[in-house]
Amino acid sequence: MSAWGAGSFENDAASDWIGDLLESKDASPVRAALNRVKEHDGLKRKRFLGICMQRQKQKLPADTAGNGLAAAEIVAARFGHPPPKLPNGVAEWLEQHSSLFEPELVVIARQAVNKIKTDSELQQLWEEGDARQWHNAVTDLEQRLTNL
Amino acid sequence: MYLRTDENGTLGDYVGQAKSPARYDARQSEHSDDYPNADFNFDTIDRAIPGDELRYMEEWNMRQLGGSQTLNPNTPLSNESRAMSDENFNSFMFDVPQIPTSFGGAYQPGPLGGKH
Repeated sequence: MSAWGAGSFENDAASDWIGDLLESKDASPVRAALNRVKEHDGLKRKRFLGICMQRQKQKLPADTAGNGLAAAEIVAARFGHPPPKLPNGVAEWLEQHSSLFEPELVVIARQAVNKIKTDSELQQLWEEGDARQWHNAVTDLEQRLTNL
Repeated sequence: MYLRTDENGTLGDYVGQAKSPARYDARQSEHSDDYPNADFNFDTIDRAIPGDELRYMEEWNMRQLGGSQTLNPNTPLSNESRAMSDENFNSFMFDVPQIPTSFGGAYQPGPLGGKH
């Protein structure tokens, strides 16, 4: 999942995910993206004909983490703390669907962001270079979720 | 997989991915919105199944073109981070099923030498 910026929406995975969200009639993509982060147990299952053949250690994949950060941004925006810039169409989508967001999503979003920040392939990839901008963006998101 | 180039020469090339043709169309507008002073061209450079295979191809293409800024400050690419860790990149090569030699002749090996 390469990126053209450190912001939560400045990468291809998040852009694809936002496209799916805008076509959705409820908040299920948000919950699903956050749950995929929360439920990742650090293992990758290799399957053959639908049967789990082998498990090996794997950090939370970068694209799953990228989708999780985008979903957490949507939660923060829904509850009044959006980032400075939202992708086109998101504000309108939130206006139409805000009643479908349960407050519990805030807790799941906080947990997901913490996991992405501390133990994910995305964190690993950014920390190969100067990761200050990425850490600043994630910390800003964390603070907006904490203030809800 | 796509390659974004800036006709104005202001921004470096960018290797990216979109999971469908519709998303690829939308992505081009998104880049232009983010960089209103740029004059972008977009070229499809490869195709793969969305998910790990697409990420693998993205990483492979980035490496061919100089790598991300996190790993190579002198890269001509404007990709700020890369697509896949070395660990996942190396293990993925061994995950991909080999295509049988009796595939029927329609298959043409891509830049991965038959890995996708």
